Amino acid sequence: MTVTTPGSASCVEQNGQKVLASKKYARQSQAGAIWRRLRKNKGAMVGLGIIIILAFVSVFADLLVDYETEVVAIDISRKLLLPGPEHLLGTDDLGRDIFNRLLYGARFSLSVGLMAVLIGMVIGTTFGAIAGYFCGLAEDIIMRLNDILSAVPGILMGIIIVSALGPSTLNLMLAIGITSIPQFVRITRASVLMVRNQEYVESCRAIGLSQARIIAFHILPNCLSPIIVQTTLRIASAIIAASTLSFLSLGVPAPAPEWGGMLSIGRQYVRTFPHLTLFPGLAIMITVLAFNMLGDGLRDSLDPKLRR
Amino acid sequence: MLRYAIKRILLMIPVIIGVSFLIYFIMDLAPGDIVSVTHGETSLTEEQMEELRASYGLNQSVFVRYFNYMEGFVRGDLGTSFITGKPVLESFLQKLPATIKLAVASMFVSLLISIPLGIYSAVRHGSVQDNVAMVFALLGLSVPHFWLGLMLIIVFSLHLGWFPSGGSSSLGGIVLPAVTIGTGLTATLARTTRSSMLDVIRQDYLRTARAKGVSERTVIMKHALRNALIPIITIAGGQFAYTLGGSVVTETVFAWPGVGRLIVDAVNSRDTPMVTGCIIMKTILIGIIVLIVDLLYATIDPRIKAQYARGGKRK
Repeated sequence: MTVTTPGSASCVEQNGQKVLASKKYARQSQAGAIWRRLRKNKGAMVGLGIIIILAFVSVFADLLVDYETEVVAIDISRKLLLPGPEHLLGTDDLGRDIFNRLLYGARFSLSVGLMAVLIGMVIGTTFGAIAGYFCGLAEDIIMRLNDILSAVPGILMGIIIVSALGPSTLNLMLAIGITSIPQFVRITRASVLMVRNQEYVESCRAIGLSQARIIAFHILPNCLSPIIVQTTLRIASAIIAASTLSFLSLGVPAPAPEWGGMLSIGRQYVRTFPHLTLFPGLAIMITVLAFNMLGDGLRDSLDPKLRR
Repeated sequence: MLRYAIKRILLMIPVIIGVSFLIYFIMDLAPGDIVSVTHGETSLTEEQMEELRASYGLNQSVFVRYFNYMEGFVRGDLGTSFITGKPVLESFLQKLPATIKLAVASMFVSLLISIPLGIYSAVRHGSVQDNVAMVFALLGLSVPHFWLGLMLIIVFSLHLGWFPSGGSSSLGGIVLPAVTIGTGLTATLARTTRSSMLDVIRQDYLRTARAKGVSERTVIMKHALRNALIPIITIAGGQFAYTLGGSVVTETVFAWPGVGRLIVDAVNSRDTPMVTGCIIMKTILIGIIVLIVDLLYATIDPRIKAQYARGGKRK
């Protein structure tokens, strides 16, 4: 009771509850706090659930359906069947089961979306960090180049790039990746600008760390929140962009069951067999909605100040 | 303010040079050229093909061709289409009204839905209606345009027969494409309106207005909305520019004779002057609209006008 030195046993005993509480607080890592906030957001949890299911389906697609016999095999005798017990969502113009194709197609949509955004993020974040950290001439050059790249609307740029490189899954990823660079450059630069003059960065310089090390290990980790949110939301728009390009026959080549490509086939039967168009579109919408919901939830939980 | 506008217009020059070079260069990378696209199936000999290429100037290096093209551009000549033989500018201006018409109609749809929805959500912040409205907005953001277009065609054109499924010959033809594009725009704009209104709605001067006995309607519509307008106008302006530049797919689905389809067709037939010229014109158009939006701020917010008067520098 009389001992007041901080940290001594009696101090702990005296203010037991308080000290314990602060210990509990200290143990709560930042990631834990973010997860706790995210968990309270119902929309984000639904989104995350859908994404986990889709990821599971994509990874194990080969175990769920056989690509050669159940996804791409043509059987004209079963063509254009309406949804029923045998074919849950019906069959397309070549007698292929739409449900199986949608299941397998998740793999294309998710991987194209993910890879494209990864390409955009790595390039965009690197240049954005350089522009924000060094300022001056480097910043001017990078930002002007960025203005040029963002002056052409994304989907148009995608069309031009894919038709130049030729339609293939890889080129689709590249095209969408390139069109998502400008957003990442802008966001990273803005957050680096906020951090670069803080005292801890100054002390990094004072102890002689290399500039690359300061950017990679000390500045970027503190700019992660907006980049994570942007990545999630960009995956959503990348999936739409990929299906749009496939719809224009500029994406994943047939007979692969890409959702946009399936829509492109369905378009020819829009008058007579609308189910060919309905289901792939719903699949795209649900996937994109899931990423958007997760992105929104992440934004709220990563920066509680922005919470609305 | 005039100085600021002139400075902004001058800053567009390097962007136009960069964009035109980028597009010209990518188009050159594409496999095949105009000769192989138009004469690939014919029985021309290799020499005849080479001769044709030379007549299009394709035997020169891409840099020489680009330089020649830009020399023409400075004199106001955007080149001649490889396919139709018509000046690019003429074709562009011919298709532009349809695109502008669609963009204006889409913006109209978007503003009509999103601003009331955003205000309603903000006023009822946290309520069930607010959540429903925001889920609706998120849905609008998640639906692929071309699919929504097809669904609208199935329901409103094939089943109900209310509107034509494509073309711009009749007045009703614009409804479905405008709703298609407008839905996507509504999502972002409603969310912006809501968050911008939420920023304003709890400020002290609104409480003062209420205390003075101003009706709630006037408080929201006049005192709050006016101060919440800046972000809304920024987004709406950007969207209008985007619609002028990006409604490629919707134009394709609805067979709308606009600039988007002109460019896609030109890309497919490797018509480099047409693609480059149209994209230059689009860049200029988008740049001017964004500038007008920036200048519009000044009329809405006197504080920004004062900022422009100081030479465009922030405090």
